[in-house]
Amino acid sequence: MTSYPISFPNYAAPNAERFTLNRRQSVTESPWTYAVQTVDTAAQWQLQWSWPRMRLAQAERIAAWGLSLKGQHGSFRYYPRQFSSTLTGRSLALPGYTYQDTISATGWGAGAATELRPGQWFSIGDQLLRLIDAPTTADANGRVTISFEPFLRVQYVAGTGLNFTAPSGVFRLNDSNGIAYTLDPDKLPDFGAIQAREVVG
Amino acid sequence: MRNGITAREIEAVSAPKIITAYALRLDFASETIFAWTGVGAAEPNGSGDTDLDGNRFEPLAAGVTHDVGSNTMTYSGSDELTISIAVPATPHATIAAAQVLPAEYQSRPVIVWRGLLWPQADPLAPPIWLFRRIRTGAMTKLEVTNDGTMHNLTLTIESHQALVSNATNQTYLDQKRYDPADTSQDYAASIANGDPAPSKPVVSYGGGGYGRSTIDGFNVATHADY
Repeated sequence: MTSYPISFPNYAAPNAERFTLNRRQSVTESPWTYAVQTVDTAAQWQLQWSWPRMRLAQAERIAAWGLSLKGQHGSFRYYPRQFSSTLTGRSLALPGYTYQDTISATGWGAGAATELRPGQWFSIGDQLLRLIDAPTTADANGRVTISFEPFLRVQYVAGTGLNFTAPSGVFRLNDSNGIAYTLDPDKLPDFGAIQAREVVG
Repeated sequence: MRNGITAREIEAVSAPKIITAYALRLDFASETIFAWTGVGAAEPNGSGDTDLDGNRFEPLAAGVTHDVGSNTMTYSGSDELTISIAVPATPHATIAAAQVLPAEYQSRPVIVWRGLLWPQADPLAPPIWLFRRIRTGAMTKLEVTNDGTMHNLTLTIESHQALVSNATNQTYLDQKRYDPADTSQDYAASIANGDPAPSKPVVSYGGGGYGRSTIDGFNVATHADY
């Protein structure tokens, strides 16, 4: 019995990766005034990646990895590619509540440079988050208010660690039929673009 | 519960971006199930609604709530409302029981709340949800569909007819069935069908020879000038 999430295959590194935030959002526009009201209920990361053409031996192993996901049932952990961050020992200063897109983090020295940048990935628990805004220096208590997307789906207690060095998310395939490679006349297997979405709940 | 919309609710509804969810309380015979369509578990308190406060509403524990039907109110009461719950591969014991035991769900109460997340000025403050009852009713019908790709349990909530008993259709004329000695309603039919009807004779007696009586719908008084 496989225990999910399984790790992403390390036999070949993806040569393309694309993250989009898939929002469950409805937009109502007034037919008279064009005033708009949006209703938001959820958001999840959508991941698309592809592998470079590879040797058949590698492709066979990746195909086996794909089958082990059992369609959309299983899940895998994916680490988005990004400029590395060396921030460790950072945690929540206040509880992180569901539906919140701002947290208060601690672990910096008073007035120290935060070394945070917009667009940076980080994770809390299994939830992958992308930093939207953070100050360049911490406050007098060594705290930093960080806004991010998407909102938290689980409530975290104060003191929960923030992962800046190796953030990851848990994903499942979009397609129950799994992944497969195409064998070309020149015998170089190609998997094409593969789509997955973040596991929620 | 429907009256008294607060300023906070108006603020939440009129915000340019709103976040909503449904909260359901399904009072099955063996257990009450609390489900909601928001993320994470919610434990409302301080609303003053004892059916809501202090209960833990889970998004997944009893299956995913994937559809709440239209909530229709008319002059004659409310139309039925359906709630669909996807039955997981290993169903919740109460959901499994409800599929085979009618007593689990029949005429058991259900409460549906509509939740609105109130936008707060402080982004770090705990979220405040505003819950409002949109339906209270009884489960009258249960439909289980399983077509190979999905397994759903659809509950029909009827809040008007299920809670109101049928009309008795009794009239004043039934009075003697309850008390044979009571003759007070004997003339109820003739009273109900009595005058003034346009073609009925009305006999009344005035003084003197010029009677203001009518005969066969014929007003004598107007022809008494001889």
